[in-house]
Amino acid sequence: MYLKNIRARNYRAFGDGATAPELNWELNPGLNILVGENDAGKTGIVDAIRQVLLTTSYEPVRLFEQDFHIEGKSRAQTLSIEATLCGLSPDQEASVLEWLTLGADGTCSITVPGDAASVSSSILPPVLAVFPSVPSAIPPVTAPQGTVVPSAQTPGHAGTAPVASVVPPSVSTGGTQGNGV
Amino acid sequence: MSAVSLEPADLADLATLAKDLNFDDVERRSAMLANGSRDFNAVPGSGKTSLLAAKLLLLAKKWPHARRGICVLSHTNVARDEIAQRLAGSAEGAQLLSYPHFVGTIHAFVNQFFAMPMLRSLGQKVDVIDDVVFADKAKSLLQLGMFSGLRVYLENQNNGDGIATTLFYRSADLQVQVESGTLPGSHTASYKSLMTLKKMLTKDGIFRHRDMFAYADRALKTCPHLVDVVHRRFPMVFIDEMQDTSWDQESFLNRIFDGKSVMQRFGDVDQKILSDEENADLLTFPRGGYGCISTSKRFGPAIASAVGSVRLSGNAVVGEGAGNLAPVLLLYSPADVAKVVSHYGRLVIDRLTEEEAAAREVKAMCTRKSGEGKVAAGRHLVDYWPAYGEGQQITRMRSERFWGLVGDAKKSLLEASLHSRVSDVRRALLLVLRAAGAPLVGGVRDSRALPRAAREFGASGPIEGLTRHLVISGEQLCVVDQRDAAIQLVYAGLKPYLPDELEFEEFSALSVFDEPESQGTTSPTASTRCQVSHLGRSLEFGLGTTAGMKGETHSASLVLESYGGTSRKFDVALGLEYIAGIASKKLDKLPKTQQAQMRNLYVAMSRPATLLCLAANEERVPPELRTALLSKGWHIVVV
Repeated sequence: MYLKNIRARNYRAFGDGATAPELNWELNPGLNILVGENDAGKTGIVDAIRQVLLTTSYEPVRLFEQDFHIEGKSRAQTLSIEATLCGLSPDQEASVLEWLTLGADGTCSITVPGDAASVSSSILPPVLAVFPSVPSAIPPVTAPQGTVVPSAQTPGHAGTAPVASVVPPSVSTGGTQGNGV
Repeated sequence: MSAVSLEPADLADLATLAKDLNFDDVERRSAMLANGSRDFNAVPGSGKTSLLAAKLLLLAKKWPHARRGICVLSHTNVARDEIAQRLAGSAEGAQLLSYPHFVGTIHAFVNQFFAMPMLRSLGQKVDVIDDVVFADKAKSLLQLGMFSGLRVYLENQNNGDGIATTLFYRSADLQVQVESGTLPGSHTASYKSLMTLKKMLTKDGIFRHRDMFAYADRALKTCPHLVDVVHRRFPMVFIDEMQDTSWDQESFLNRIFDGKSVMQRFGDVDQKILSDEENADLLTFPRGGYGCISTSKRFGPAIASAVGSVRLSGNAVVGEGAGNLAPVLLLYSPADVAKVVSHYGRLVIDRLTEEEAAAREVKAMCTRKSGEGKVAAGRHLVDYWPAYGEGQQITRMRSERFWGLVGDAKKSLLEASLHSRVSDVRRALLLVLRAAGAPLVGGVRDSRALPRAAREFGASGPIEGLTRHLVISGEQLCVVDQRDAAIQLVYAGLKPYLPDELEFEEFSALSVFDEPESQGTTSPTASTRCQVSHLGRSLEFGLGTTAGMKGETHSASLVLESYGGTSRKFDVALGLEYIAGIASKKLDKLPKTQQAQMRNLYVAMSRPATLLCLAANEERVPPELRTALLSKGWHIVVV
């Protein structure tokens, strides 16, 4: 299995794709090398991958207010990061069967989406954190000082995946990263 | 091998897991300990669902895999719920209800693992998968001017309605076929219009259940290697009610599981009551070397012998239940047909103690719901209970009305997960937003996509808050005299998403807030339930079709005679000849239509634990048949 594509909108240096370029990077199997000037967004790309797939190291992965992209004078209020994994072994495909994307070329991939909203400027009711439609099995991206809460991370694609079918963390994140991202 | 085996020592755990169940006899023990692929044919009341649930509990206890699961398939939601309920009773069992396992209907399985991923990958929206909604939408699209030619063609067909409302996809290349009637030649304009109609419905995301099997086939055609993937996820597969599986379904399951996973199938081949379908002769259940469970714990010897005599396969039915009441034949004159059901109610009060009657439900059933036929009364359920079925229209349209979706939680608040409740409320809000012309939902295909659309719109807070509020308190908010306040609340909650110029007045008049039209004065409950008072006791019991009561256990069951139409026979009158042992032909020599009637009779007669009652028109039960029945220990009562 390898990471085939990483997309990010309104995350750090990357914009929403309309006023400023978003991140939409196609990777190759094997070695990929990032070259760029200071502040070009290299670390942003690596951190985007860590945000959506979590990490095996003991560092906590957290979103901070400054992770939301600034365009002009205003800071974005939502951001999204999406990773597409390809080249799964039959056993890996079996474990995520219901969330696979079936490519016209006969290959299967899985897309792991992540969304976050800044809470300080939003009117989210405080109960959202325990709202039943938010899959509780997804580990919350811990919000420092109550500024950021994760919104519903639904597995699959563009919101059409069944909301109730929660990908357990061991599959959507631990599993993928444990196998060579 | 990833499957888990059960050893005799594991059965010791049963005593703690399922105290009320007894699997000591050889047949049940061998079914419990079977570890390879095998079929089991079990008589009604043999407790095959209990056995399956107990077996699953034992397997769950030993299940070592985190990302491989057990797949448990049934045919109806009723059977699925029954298994799920038993599993939910223990911590180990409850694990089977979530990832990586699957417990559900064959349709749900095919949808979740194949059809939906395929549709998602194709970028195809899915709004609703429902044969009734499909038929309604097809009929309303037909009224468009572009279909005027097609309308004329359909009007001139025997079954024009059936053609337009049952268009479905078959096989991986999505060939369009019809379930009823025949398609016109593919060169005709009518054919092309029908294809356009199906395409339009597909584009709107409106599908029939059968379409999903075509998309599942397409998934396997698109990614052929998946055939080698599915069995890795589900090394063990259990199928309940196997006799009701169609060939389309069986062949699909065989492709992904047969010879790869351990597949155990449970059913009763004699209870197959939908037999006039295509390729029924290809069905493999039960396969050679199948196991049998031939003793019924439901009813006693008297009912068992009657049930056994209408069993098509001719295998014996052994009754080990406690009941020892004689079966009763209720005879009525055609003028008294509408009195039969309440007479039965009084009979139950006479013969069953209060405890016996309350132990399980009392029911009355008939194979046919309604219909024509120029024969004397006793043709179908409506003959016996003229109000039957009235007022049922309302529930049918539930998925299209705000009040139905929000105001009736249908006990979903008591479930462990609020998932079904949340999706009902989201669907209701989606309908409102659509009706109000909110730009937010322009591209929203399914209510599940609503939260994402709201986020992209820049404000998910209000709609999430409103959803939560309606999920929790929707039922109280939607009582009839509070509805204005409820609409106000919805208006306030959705205001950020609504077009600016939409005022409350206009909003509250949207058709989505219309009351469901009432269907006459009969309430839906009165049309399917009968209340009887007798000897100072009162009894209320349900009426329905045999197909709808499959798998149920009753304390007392009334089987109402029905007319077979093309078979030219009444089921009870025909069956009585076999019960009395005076039939001239063997069961398996009967024409197919009459065999189908006997299968239904077998299913109906095998429901009761204590009292079995058949009802027949007295003109159709000749004296010699009555004498033979009496000598078999039956009681005959005239209404």
